[in-house]
Amino acid sequence: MDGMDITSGNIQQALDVAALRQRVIVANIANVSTPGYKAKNVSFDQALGEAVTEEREGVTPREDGNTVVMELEVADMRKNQVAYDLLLTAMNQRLRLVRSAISGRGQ
Amino acid sequence: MSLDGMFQGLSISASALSAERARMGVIAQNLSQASTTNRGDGTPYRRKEVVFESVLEGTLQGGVQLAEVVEDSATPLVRQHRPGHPDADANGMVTLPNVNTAFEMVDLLQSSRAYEANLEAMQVQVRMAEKALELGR
Repeated sequence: MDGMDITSGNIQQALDVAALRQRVIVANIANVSTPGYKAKNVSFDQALGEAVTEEREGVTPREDGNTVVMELEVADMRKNQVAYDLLLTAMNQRLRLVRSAISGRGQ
Repeated sequence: MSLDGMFQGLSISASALSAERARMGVIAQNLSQASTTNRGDGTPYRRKEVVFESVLEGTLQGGVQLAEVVEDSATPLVRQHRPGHPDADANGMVTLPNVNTAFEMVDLLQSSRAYEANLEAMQVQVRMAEKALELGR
């Protein structure tokens, strides 16, 4: 989609961030039983224009030092899944627009 | 979502599934050996515990693996008065394993829940990838 227009690029970028976030959440869930594991979080840095992975803050560690809260992770995973679906829908709309522009017909 | 990224996510979840399964295996062993007073060398069974660690590099980066299975020597063995038991000492005392059934069951439940959560995570990833494949249709 490179160079097509800025909006598709934005959607593409947001999709990449959602995919990365999914991987990080999945790793958090995988490490729920690992002593000392620190749960990670993906946020998008507007200034840098890229995704940043950092340790989740504001969570009291368990006795073994682990900071994974399963409920938070599952909720985040679901949120991210919905966001990803929405982005794909948006991307599909863009593609449909491009297709009608090429064919010169409506849908 | 890149295909590589998706496979990595699935591998991470799979690593946790296999680690949790190993943990459940050790718990099952503890439960089954809860009354073994002689494991061949005259000493009772000692409960075992798994140690997990994060995978820090390679294709499984972010995943989890079984570092080792250690014997629990901190929890004291149980002494019981059973004069008729073949493994009883001169005072009629038998030394039983340091397995606490309630504790093992709680551990088993936690492990089983973690297993389910990872399975769920895997399914979510597959659904996301399927959606992505429908792009442009």
